[in-house]
Amino acid sequence: MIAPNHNSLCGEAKLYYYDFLHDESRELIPEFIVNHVEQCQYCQERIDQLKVVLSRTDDIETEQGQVSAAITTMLELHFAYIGKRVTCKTVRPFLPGLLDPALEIRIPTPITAHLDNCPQCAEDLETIRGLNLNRKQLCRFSQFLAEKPGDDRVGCSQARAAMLAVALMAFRETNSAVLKHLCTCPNCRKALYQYRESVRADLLHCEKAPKEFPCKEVSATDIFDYTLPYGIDPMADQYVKFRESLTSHLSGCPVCLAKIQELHIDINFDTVIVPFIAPSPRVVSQSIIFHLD
Amino acid sequence: MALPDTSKYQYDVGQAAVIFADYGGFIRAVIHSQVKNEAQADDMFQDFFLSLVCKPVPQNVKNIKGYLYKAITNDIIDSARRVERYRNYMHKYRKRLDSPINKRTPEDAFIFVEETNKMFELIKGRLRNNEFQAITLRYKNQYSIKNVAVRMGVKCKSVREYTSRGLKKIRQSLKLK
Repeated sequence: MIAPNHNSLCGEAKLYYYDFLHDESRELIPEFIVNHVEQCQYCQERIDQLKVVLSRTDDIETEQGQVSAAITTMLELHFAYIGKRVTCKTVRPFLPGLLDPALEIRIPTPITAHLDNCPQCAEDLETIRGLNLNRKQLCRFSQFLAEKPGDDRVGCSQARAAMLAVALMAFRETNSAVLKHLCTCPNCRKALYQYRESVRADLLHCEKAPKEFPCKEVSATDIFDYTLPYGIDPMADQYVKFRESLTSHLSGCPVCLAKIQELHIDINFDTVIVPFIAPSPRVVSQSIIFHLD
Repeated sequence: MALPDTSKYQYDVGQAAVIFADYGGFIRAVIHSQVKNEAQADDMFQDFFLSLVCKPVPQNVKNIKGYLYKAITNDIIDSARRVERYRNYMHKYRKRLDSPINKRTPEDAFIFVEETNKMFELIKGRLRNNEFQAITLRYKNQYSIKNVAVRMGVKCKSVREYTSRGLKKIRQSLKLK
């Protein structure tokens, strides 16, 4: 046996450790490497370790496998823009996903390269970060930002009929398609904003003090789903009963409704989806091309 | 500006995604067997995706796992070398920062240099050539003993002897005055 010397053949032998585990690839290993490994305790231990690690691969294919798959999908989506012009509009749907710690992109991609060079997009990212949304909300928000208006079959009249139920946060009285339409149709979204505003005005005139509720503690995470009910399926929501006290307060409290309206504007950015609120003007849309070399 | 043909990139990105979908667990396991730091392993995992986009798995490769193992190992070795090189640069940079920096005003700095030069002119005649050279390099140029030894082509021990003898002579001549 020879003592491990990382500067000598062990470094070269490292490249063939996997081949030592498979008979069919053994013949591809240079003879001097075979001779070295046969005498080197360090290399043999490493090969044994590799064998153990690889044998566990199949067992690990659970949560970590799902995260790896999600990261791969994200990387694929990011690198789909290699050599293409990346504008603010391209980057916007990626922003919420970048805030998911499990899906953190750790290498430069066309999207992150744009973000590094575009103060407006960086500001938008910080706005979303400030909302402290959970993973599901980030995911739905991402899908919403990627949505093109007019992609659904629900008519505006059908959506308007459900406006009261949505403003009162009684999503069970409507369905996911209507909720989606209310988020993606510029006119309906505008109408929903105005409807909520009129409800709030009535509540202010009414001067009926709402029951004691820690309104200050109501966060953006709590009201996000009611502000942007995109992708929510009311029929599949098992936890609706647990939120009844919250929703009954939110729909009757002018302070909380004001928060919802504020969030409505905050998550607006300057997307074409909700053009009725004048956004801060973007003088030039940053356009950056990412090359592999 | 004309855009490059992106269809090849798209194909390579798609191929890399397919490899990651099929061998993601294997890739992660190989990285973990060689990189103990979790964060570093995550970096390597994503880096390897880009690596596969830049250099896709050749069509004629039969043993894909074997190929991936070698590619990952090579990437890790490259990465370790890059880190080592970066550390060396930083080490050199720190050494440079450690050497005296002129923190005086320009006028004071000029006067200081003039006075130092005068002082060394004065001691020049009182010391042997070797002693004078060792003291100049050590205390005027602020070199380390090792560096002085290299520059003079002698051993460190000799440098210590020259400087010690030289300083003794200077002290004695100052005492006499």
